[in-house]
Amino acid sequence: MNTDKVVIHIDGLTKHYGNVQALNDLSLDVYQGEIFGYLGPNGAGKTTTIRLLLDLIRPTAGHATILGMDVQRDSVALHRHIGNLPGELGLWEQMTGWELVRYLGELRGGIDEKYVSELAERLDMDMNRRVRDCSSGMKRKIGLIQALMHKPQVLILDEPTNGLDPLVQQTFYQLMREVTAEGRTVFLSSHNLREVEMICDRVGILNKGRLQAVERISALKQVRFRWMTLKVANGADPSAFERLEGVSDVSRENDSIRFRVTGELDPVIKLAAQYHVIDLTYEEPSLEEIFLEYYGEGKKGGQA
Amino acid sequence: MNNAGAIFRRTLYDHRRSILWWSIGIGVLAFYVTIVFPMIAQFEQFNELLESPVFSALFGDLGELDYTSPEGFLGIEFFTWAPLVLAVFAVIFGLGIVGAEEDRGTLDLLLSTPIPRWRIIVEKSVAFLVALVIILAVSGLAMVAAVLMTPELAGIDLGMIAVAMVNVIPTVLLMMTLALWLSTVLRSRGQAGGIAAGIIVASYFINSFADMAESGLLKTLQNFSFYKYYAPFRVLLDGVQWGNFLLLLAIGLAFLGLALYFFQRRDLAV
Repeated sequence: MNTDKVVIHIDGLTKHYGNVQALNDLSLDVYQGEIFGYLGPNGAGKTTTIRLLLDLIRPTAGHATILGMDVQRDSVALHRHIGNLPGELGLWEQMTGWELVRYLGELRGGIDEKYVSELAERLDMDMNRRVRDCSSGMKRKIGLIQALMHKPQVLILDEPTNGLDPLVQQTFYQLMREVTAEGRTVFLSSHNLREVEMICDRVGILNKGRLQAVERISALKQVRFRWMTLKVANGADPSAFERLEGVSDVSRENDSIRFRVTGELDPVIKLAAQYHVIDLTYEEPSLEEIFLEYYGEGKKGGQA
Repeated sequence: MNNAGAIFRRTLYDHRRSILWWSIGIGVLAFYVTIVFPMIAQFEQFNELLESPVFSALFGDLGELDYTSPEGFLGIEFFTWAPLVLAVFAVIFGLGIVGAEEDRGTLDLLLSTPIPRWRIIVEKSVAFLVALVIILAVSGLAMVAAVLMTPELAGIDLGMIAVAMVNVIPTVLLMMTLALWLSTVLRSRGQAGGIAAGIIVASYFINSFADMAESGLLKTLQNFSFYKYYAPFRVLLDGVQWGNFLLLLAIGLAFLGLALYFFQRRDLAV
């Protein structure tokens, strides 16, 4: 990731449908060579953002540039450098995979058939099959191939692994790593937290049309909290832990005490040292828990 | 623009079966109507029937035209009906230009490529024009074949059949661009199709009813009926009325312009 070079620059982007606020005042920069995960539940505004970036819908306010080009004014020139996989993928049912990529390739001014064959092979896709005879997973593969086939500088992928089987998902992750290794940039939306955790450099969390947080995946994991389970001989007194700063949600089960720690670990370790510790387990929170934490703060009115 | 014509070619290819069946359908109609002429012409009383108000209401005022002449007969029985039948083709095609791609979700893929929105409408409209010319050419050939097979029709100028077929183009084009424009404004394809069909049918009947009236509201309304300017009855005798031809063409292109304007500006449905 090259933080000197902003590839996607979003400034105050807002989209209202009548009284419905699909996206509110979104400002965000995505850097060259990173995989940016755009995370949120259904209806959060992920697809709205993506369709604004592709000039399929027009903003109520704000603007965005990709590779320095205005997404609305320069959309035709810009689309040469973008690969797009729509979330609600619609394909021409009567075409075969090959016909479809050749048609889109023709509109792009040419197609590298060798590269398409290579992608199809890696994704285990039979491109001679008609779209109408394809499962949703196969359609997704065709969608991925058409998004990747012209080796675009920027990939905008809406729920790319939806419907892909786990093996193909791994291939997809590998492809994304190769793309960013070449200095190209990926903006992908997902509601799959594990996926984002696994492949993204940074994540933006969106809820109800508002960006709640943008964090590096690594920082996000550290910044919040972790779960500790302490197994001690002869039992321990939970209330002693409850009194510590940064400790919450203390529960006791047989010889074990489980609690949540925010901030420094030192007081916990020092207190634990007074007991005969049999085992200590330390769990990083799942992104889901962090996610819920952010939403909790969101509800209180603050913006993380 | 090294990718010009890709959508045009794809559209024609995707409509190949539809164009084939419409060519056969309208061609058979042209052939049949022509070949039955000698049987109809035996009945002189048809001309009396033509003067009755009921007939005028259905077909409009024929003026000095002789229904039992081959040109008059074909003017009414083929060239009056042909655009109304082709309206079905035109409206379905017009609604499909952006509507079908939008409903299928393929518009998102098309517009993710480096092509401007107007290219979709323009290339598909040109494909429609080519499809229409193919259908009318087949019909013209079918009519010519029928004329050559029928000694009673020996007097018909075959060149005028081609002229009369060309004369159909602006009317049907206008029907297509009307449906296209409505589909870019209204979100529901059903609604757009219904309104387009309503306008076409109303236009036809307003024109034929108004032919009976001496003056008043109907006569005023008639000016807004594009059928008034199509006026097919005497086309095989008099040829194309260029003023009317160009007027219909201009209205059709105006609808196209409106479609381009609205489509360029609006949000695309998911």
